[in-house]
Parts: sequence; structure tokens; C-alpha cells
Amino acid sequence: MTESDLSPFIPLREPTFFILLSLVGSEKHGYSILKSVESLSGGRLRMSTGTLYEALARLLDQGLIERQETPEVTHPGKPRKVYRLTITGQRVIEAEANRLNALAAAARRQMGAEWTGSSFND
Amino acid sequence: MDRQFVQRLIRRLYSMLIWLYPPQFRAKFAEEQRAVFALAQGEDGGSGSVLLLRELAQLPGVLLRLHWAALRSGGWKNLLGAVALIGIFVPPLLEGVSRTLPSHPWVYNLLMILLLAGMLAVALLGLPRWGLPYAGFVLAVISFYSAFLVFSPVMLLLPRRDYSALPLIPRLAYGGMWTGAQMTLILAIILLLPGLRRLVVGATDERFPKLWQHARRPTDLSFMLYGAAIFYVYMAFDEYTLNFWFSLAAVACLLIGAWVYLQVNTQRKGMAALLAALTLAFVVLAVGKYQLVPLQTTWNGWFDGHPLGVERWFEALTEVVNLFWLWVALLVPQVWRRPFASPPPPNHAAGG
Repeated sequence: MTESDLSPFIPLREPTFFILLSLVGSEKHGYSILKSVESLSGGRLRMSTGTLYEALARLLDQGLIERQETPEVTHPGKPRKVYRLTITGQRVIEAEANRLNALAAAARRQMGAEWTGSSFND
Repeated sequence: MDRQFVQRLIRRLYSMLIWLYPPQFRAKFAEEQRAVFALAQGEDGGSGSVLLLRELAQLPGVLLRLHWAALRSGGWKNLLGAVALIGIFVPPLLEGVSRTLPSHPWVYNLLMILLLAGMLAVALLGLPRWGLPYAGFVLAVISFYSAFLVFSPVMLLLPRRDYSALPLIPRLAYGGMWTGAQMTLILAIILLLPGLRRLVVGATDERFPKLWQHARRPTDLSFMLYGAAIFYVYMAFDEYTLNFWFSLAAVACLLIGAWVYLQVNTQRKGMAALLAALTLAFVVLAVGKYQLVPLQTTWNGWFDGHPLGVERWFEALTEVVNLFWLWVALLVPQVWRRPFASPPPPNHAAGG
């Protein structure tokens, strides 16, 4: 897959970025994703279940994640669903991280000595 | 209050919110959403009210995006349906705008254009389910303006006096009698016009052109009568000013009720949605009137000779009386189904 194939997905909105990031390296169910997003964003991003599932539905449609049933059961007779990154999803999160990295590098170069290291959460 | 009871109540409210999502989305994710909410509530340790507030805060944007996506995937008929369904709720809002802003003669022209466009869309698409409130709205207009004519012989039997000068309760009863007369007239029109009944409850009849054949439910007659409530919201703040936000809130309640009715898959839930929305809308109207009466500078202290406090209660309780009659109108076809069922085809009636 070339870089231009990924361009429709980039840039990612912040919640989407954190949802995809939370799935890197391991599959997760809905609640784990919710907690993971909160933790990865330093507690700044607290999504409702509506926002989460709206994003998951869109990412499923776009083929960036996939959904599977597990033998685990949450409610009687209801198998738990887990979400995992597809290869395209993995490429998109890498491409977005690279894009953000390039932006940050450009800002550092330009600001030079004026760079104080202030962060968004300060 | 027992904490477990509050937690259960909040989970129940959350489940009700899920009704607002598009059906396909709900079928796929509702179970998971409920499980995730229950887990979050368990970990939160509290009642879950903060979680519910977070859901509510983010809900409008989520719903708009999801319904828009669902409508786009359903083609132009779905889009037109949604626009027309929303269109019937516009008159009370325009009424609110016209009274809030200084002078807007265009409001009434726009109102008529929107109503006629909505009715045209409903007719062109063969009176689909979402178009039923239009028929109820029209029936309410007819009954509102003709009830006096129809019931005047009965009214002549009442003693001649100034009914606006009566004390609170008899005055409410007199006003309520008129609303009751209007509802009776609407139900009588439905009973006397078998064609209308057949269109609303029996539109799967093969004698209709294909366009006019729709899957119906017995509760669809009540959904049609729900359109009358829109007319009452439209008329509620007649002679008032500063009522826009109350009109908006009442209309929003009715619109959500109609939307949920069209989304749920059981008749019981559908009726519950209509009645709950109706009740909320009229509570909003009652509270609104109670708050707004003292602010009506254009009334020049004219309260039919009643003290301000009595007038506030009269205006607010009038909406409770209207709510009562609308409940009756919606429930009569459900409780007393036989006369409101679709009439048999003429050859069948003749014993053929």
C-alpha cells in the first residue's frame, strides 16, 4: 500500500488517533478501549460510549479495524466482541504519527532557542 | 434513596437513550454499549450520573452524524422522509420566532410553503408512516375551527354567562370541555370516513396503487393523532411573547417521540415513546406559561379580572387539561380497537 492510498484517512481526528493507538499490539473490547484512550490522552479525552461506538463503526467501515467474537461472555449467551487493528489501520496510525512527528520537528527547528517545552496539559 | 435503585434507574435511562440511535447501528452495537456503560458505572463507584451526563452532552453531535450517515445510505426517499417529518414540527417554531422578533410577515408565508411542501411530499410518497402526523395536524385544524359550529346546539343548553370570569376550576372545566369536543370531533371524523381509516390502518390493501401500500401497525392511528399535539403546541403561546425557548423545547420533545416511535420495533415501546414525549412537551408548555404570564407586558395587566397568581395557574393547568385530552385521543383507538380497525372491502361487506 502506497502513501497516497493512506491519504484519505490522514489527518486523523484526535479521538480516532487515540482509538487506533490503543489497539496497537493488542486486541481490546469496548470498555478497554475507552479506558486506554483516557489513559493515553493523559485523562484529557473522556469519551461517551456513543462517541466511542460511532468512531468504531466508522473505522470498521473504513477497514482500519476488525471486530471478532471471543469465547468470553459478558451477559448470559452474549459473546464479548473485541476489536483489532487491520494492516491498513496499522499503516494509518504509523503514517499519522510520522506526520505529527514531522510537524513537531519543524516547530522545534523553527523555534530553536525559544523552545520552552510547554505542553498542552500544563 | 437506595444507591442500587438509582444505578438501575440510570442504566434504564441509558437504555432509553439507545432508542435514539439509527436501527442498523442499534442492532449492531446496542448490546455492547449497554455492557460498556454498566462496566463503567461499576468501576466509577458512584451512581453513574456523571457518565450519563457525559453521554447526554456528546449525544446530539453523535446522533446527528449517525442519522445523517444512515439517511445518506438509504437514498433520497429516506432523506425526503426525514425532512418532511421534521417539517411538520416547524410551524410551532416559526410561531415562536414570529412572536420573539419584532415583525416578520414572511414567517407565515414560509410556514404555509413548508406545510404545503410537506403535505405534497407525503401525498407523492403515498402517506408513508412518517407522514401520518400531517394528517393528524390537518384534522386538528379542522376540528379546532369547526367544533364551535358542530357543538353549538349543545352549548345553547348551557346558561348564558361570562365563562372567562368563573373561578379557576369551573373555568378550567369549561376550557377543557372545548378541547374534549375537538378531540371527539377528530375521532368522529376518523370513524365516519372509512377511506381515511383504510389509508391509515389498512394501507396494505391490494386495491390501493402500489405506491400507497405500506406496512402498518395498529398504533399508527395514534401516531396520526399525535400530529394534533403539534397543532396544540403551535397554538399554545397564542398572544404570548418571549416563548421561543419553551416552544423549541416542547417541539424537540415531540420530534424525539415521533422519531423513537418510527425506530422501535414493538408497538408497546412505540406507544410509550409517544405518550412520554407528549407528557414532557405539555409539562414544558405548562411550566413555560406559568413563568411567562407575569412577563406579558402587552397584556397590560388584563387577566379577565383575575389576580396574577390565579391567571398563572389557569394558563399552566390548561395545558395539563389539553394533555389529558390528547392522552385520551391517542389511547381510544388502542383500547377500543374494533370501530377504529380498517373497514372490510365493499364486496366483503356485501357478503361476497
